[in-house]
Amino acid sequence: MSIRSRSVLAAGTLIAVAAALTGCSPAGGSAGVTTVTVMYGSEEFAPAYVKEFESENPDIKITMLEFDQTRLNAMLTAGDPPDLVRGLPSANLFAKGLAAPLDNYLASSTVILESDLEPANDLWRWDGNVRGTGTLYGLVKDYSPDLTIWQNTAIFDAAGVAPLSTSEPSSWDEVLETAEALKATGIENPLGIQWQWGVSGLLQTMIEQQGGQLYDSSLTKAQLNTPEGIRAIQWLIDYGTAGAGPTSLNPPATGDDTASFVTEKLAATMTGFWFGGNLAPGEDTTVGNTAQLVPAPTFGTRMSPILGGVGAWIPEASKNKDAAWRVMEYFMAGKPAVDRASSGWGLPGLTSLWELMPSAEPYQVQAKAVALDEGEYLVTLQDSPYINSNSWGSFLDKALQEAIKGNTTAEQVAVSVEEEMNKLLAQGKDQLG
Amino acid sequence: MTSSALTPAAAAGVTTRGRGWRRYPARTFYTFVSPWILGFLLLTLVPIGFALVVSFTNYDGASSFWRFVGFRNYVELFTSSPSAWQSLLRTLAYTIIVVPLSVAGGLFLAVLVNRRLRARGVVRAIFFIPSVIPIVATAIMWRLIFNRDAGLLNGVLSVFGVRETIWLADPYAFYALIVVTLWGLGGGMVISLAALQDVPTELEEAARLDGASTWQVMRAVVIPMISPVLYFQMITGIIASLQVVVQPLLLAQTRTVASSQEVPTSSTLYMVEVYNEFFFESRFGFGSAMLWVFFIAILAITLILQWLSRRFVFYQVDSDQK
Amino acid sequence: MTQLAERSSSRHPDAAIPLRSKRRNVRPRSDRTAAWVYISIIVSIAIFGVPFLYVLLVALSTPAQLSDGAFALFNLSNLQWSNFYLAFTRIDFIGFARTTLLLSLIFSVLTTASSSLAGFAFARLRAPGQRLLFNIVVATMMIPAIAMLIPTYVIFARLGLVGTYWPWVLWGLAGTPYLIFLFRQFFSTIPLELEEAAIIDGAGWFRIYLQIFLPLARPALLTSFLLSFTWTWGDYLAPALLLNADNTTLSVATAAGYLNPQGTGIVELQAAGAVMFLLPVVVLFLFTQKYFIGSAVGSGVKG
Repeated sequence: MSIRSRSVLAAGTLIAVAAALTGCSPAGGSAGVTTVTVMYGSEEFAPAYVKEFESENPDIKITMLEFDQTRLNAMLTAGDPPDLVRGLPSANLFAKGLAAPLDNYLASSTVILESDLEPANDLWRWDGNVRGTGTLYGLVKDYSPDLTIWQNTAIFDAAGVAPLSTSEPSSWDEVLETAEALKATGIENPLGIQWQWGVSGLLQTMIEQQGGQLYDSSLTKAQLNTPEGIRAIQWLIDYGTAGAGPTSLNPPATGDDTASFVTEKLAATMTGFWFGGNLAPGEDTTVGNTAQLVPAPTFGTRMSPILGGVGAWIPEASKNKDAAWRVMEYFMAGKPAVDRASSGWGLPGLTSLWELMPSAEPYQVQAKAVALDEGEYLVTLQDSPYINSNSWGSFLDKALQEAIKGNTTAEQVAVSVEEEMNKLLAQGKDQLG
Repeated sequence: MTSSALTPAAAAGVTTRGRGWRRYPARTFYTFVSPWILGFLLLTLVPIGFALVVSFTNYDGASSFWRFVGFRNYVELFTSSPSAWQSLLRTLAYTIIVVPLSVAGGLFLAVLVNRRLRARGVVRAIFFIPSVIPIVATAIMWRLIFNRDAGLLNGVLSVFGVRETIWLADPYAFYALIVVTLWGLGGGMVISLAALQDVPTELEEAARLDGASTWQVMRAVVIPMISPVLYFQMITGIIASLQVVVQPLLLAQTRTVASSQEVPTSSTLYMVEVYNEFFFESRFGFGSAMLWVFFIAILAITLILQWLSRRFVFYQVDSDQK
Repeated sequence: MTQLAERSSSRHPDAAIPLRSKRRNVRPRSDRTAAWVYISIIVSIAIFGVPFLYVLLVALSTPAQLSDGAFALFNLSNLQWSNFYLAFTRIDFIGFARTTLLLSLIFSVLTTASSSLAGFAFARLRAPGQRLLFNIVVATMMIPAIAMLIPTYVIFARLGLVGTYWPWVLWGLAGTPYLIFLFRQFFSTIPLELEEAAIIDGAGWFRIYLQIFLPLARPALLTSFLLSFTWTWGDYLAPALLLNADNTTLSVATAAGYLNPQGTGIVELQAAGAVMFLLPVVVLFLFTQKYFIGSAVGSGVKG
C-alpha cells in the first residue's frame, strides 16, 4: 500500500472510531432537556422506573449510575457529582457541606408534604451540632427499627424454650440467655445479629440505653472506657464466645441470615422490620406461619433506633438540583414508593403510604403493629461530624475478634477502640475546624 | 556505529524522495516519540505532581475544608502510623516470598516443558493460561476454592479430618493471597522457556560428557547463561508485587464489590492501605504522602538491584554498548 | 526465523545473514524422561487446572448443593446449565461483552502502533536526550498504575471524559512503557544494513519503519496486541472508576452484578459469569499460542 492510501485508511479509521466513541458517551442535554445523573442501586431504582419517569417528564432524562462509594468520592473530588445519590445520613456528610439543603424544595412541593413525613426522616436533619433537628438534607426511602428481632416460634417450641415477649422489650441479657438456652438444645446458630454489617450502631445503642453517650458534649472525644461502654462490649464478646450466632469470625455461609432463617435453621435474627419481606409464603417457605417480630431489647431506657435511614440526597455541587428534586419526588412518593410500601420490605417514609403495607399474612399484621409501637421509641443516636462510622467500625470488629478468641478483655477493647476513635476525631476536627 | 546523518548517498548529493527525514534523525525521533512524551506529561507527570502537592495538604477529596499542612503527613507516616508500617512490612514479606518462588517455579516449569513430551503444547497451555485470564475471574475462582462451606480446599481437607477453616480471613488470608499470586507462575515460565532455548546445547553437552548431573549442569551452565532473563523477571516481579492491590480487594469476604475496609488485616498490603486512606478515610493528603514515600522506596530498591546485577548477572552482549 | 532471513535476502542479496544462529535447545529424544518429570507434570497440571474445573462445577450447581459442602458439588446428576443462561441474562452480558471488546481493541491497536513507533525511534534513531528519555520509559514501568488513577480521574472529569471511552484512546495513543521497551529491544536486533540500503534508495524514516521494520516485527506486533488486549479485557480498577453502570466492562459487571436483594453475591451465577468471561481469553490464547509464548517475548527480554 502506498503511503497515501495508508493515511486515508488511518484517517478513516480514526473518524469511525471517533464516531463510535461519541455515540457511547452520555448524551449531553439538548435544548430544553435536562439530564439528571442518579447514582442508585439498579435493584432499587429499576430501569422500568427510569422509563416511566422519563415518559411522564419529557423534559428530564435520567442517566443511571450504579452506587459505588469509591466512584462517588472520585466524582465529588472532581467537582462533578451525580445529581441524586443514594446514601446514609451522617453528620460528617452534612458538616462538610456536601449535601444541599432541601427545606425550600419541601416547602413548595405538592407531592411530598412536610406534614406527611414520618419522624424517621429527621435522621436526615442537622442543625450544625446535633443530628435529628434542623435543616433537612435528604429523605429516607423506607426505614425499619433495626434492632427488632424476628423469631421463629416453631423452633422455640420444639426446643422447649420460651420465646421472647412480643409486647414488652426483653433485656439484652435475657436475649443472650435465651440464645444460650437454645444452643444447649442443639441448635447450632440460635440468634443472628447480622454482625457482618457492623456492630458499632448496636454498641452505641446499648450505651445510650444505659444513659451514657458515645461522644462527649464537644463531639471530639469518644467515651468507651466507661461502665456503660464496657458492659456493651462485654455483651458482644459473650455473644461471640457463646457461639450464639454468626460473627465475623464465623460468618453465615450465604453472607447474611436470610437463607438460614427462611430454611428454619436459625431461630431468631435481629435484622429489623424490613427482613419480613423475605418471609413471603412460597412453595418451600413456611416460616411465615410461625414468625413474629419482637420489640428491640434494652439495657435500661427503651429505645428503638433506626441504625440506617437509607435514602437519597442531592449534592450541593450538583448543577441540576431542581430537576433532581423532581426525581426525588417521584422516587419517594411516586410509583417506586408505592411499590416499596406494598412489598413489605420496609416502613414507608411517608405516613400516607402506610395503608399500602401488606397485611394478608398474620405475621405482616403483627409486625406492623409492633413497628407502629416501636415508632414511639425512635431516637436519633448521637452523631459526631468529625468521624464517619465506617472508619472505626472495622477497627472495632477486629478488636472484638481478638477478645472473642480470648486474647484480650473488654476493658482492653474499650481502651484501644477509644484511642483509635479519638485519633480519627482529632483528624476530623483538624479538617473541619 | 554508523551515524546516519551522512550516508554516502547524501554526501554525494543524491536527491531523495520522501520528506528527507533521513537527514534529520533527531527531528524524526521526536516526532515518533511525541505521543509517548505527551502521554507521559499529561497522564503520568501531572498526576504525580498533583499527588505531591496534595501530600502537603489535608485535602479530603470532596469538601472545601482543607489547607496546607507542610510535612505533617510525612511526619505522621513515619512516627505515628503503625497500620501503614505494618502494611509495608507485610508487603515486603509478601514480595520476598512470592518473587523468588515465582521465578524459580517458572524456571522449573520451563525445564519440565522443555522436553520432547507428547502433548507438550497442551501442558504448556495449561500452565500458562492462568496468568492471562482476567483478575476478576481468578478471584472468583479462588474465592470459591477457599470458601469455608463449599470450597474445594476444605472439602479435601475434611477427608483428613481437618476442621473447617476460613481461609480468606485472618490469619490465613495472607497465605491465600500468596497461593493465588503463585498460580500465575506460567507467565514466568514462558519467558524462562524462551531463554532456555537460547542456551547453546554444546555447552550443556560438554558438561554432561564431563560427568555432571542434571542439577550441576543447571547450576553451572544454564542458570548463569540465562541470568539476565532471571534478573529481568526478578525486577519486574518485585515491582509488581509491591503494588498489588486488586487481588486482596477481590478475595476478601465481602458482600458486594470490594471494600478495602473488609480486607482482612493479614492481606492488607501497602497499596490496599493507600486505597483505604483515599477512599474510605478520605485522607487524600496522607494517602498521597504514602504514595510518594512508596515511589522513592521503589526507586531505591531498583537502583540497589541494578548495582547488585553488575556482580551477579552475566550478559553475553552488553546491551549498554548499543 | 529463517523467514526473516529470506525476507531480508530477497531485498538485499548481500544481507542474507540469518538473524539467529542457534539450534533449538530441546532435550534429544535419547534421554529417558525421568519419573520425577512425569510426576511433577501431573501434579502441576492438577494445581493449575483444577480451579477451572471447580469453577465449572460450581457454575453448574444449585444453592442447596453449595451449602452442603464441596463434595455435594460432584453430584453430577443435576447439572444446572440454566445457570449460564441466567448469568447471561441477569446482567446485559452481551452489551458488556461488546463494550469490553471495543475497549480492548481500541487500546491494543493504538498502543501497539504508538509503542512500536516509539520503540523503533529508540532503537534506530539517534537524538540528543534519547538516553534520558529511555531511562524515563523504564522508570515509568515502576510507577503503580493505581497511584495515578485518582488524579488522572480528576483530569478526565474536568475534561468531561468520564463515562466515555476516550481515556482508553488517550492511554492507547500514549503507548505503554513495557511495550516500548519490548519493541526497542526487538528492533535493536535487526541489522543496520537493511535500513542503510533503504536510505540509499531514498526512503524516509517513516517509510522504513512501515515497510521494512513492521513486517519483520510481526511476532512482536502480535504479541503486543495480544498482551494489551488481554490486559484491557481483564482490567478492573479503571473501568470501575471511569465508566457508568450501563457502559462498563465485563470485569466490573461480573464482580458487581449477580447480587441478591440483600447485596450478597449469588455464588453459582458469579461462577457462571466468570467462566463465560474468561472463555474468550482462553480461546484467543489457544489460537494464537505461539505469539504469547514465542521467542518474540524472549527476545524482547534478553536484550
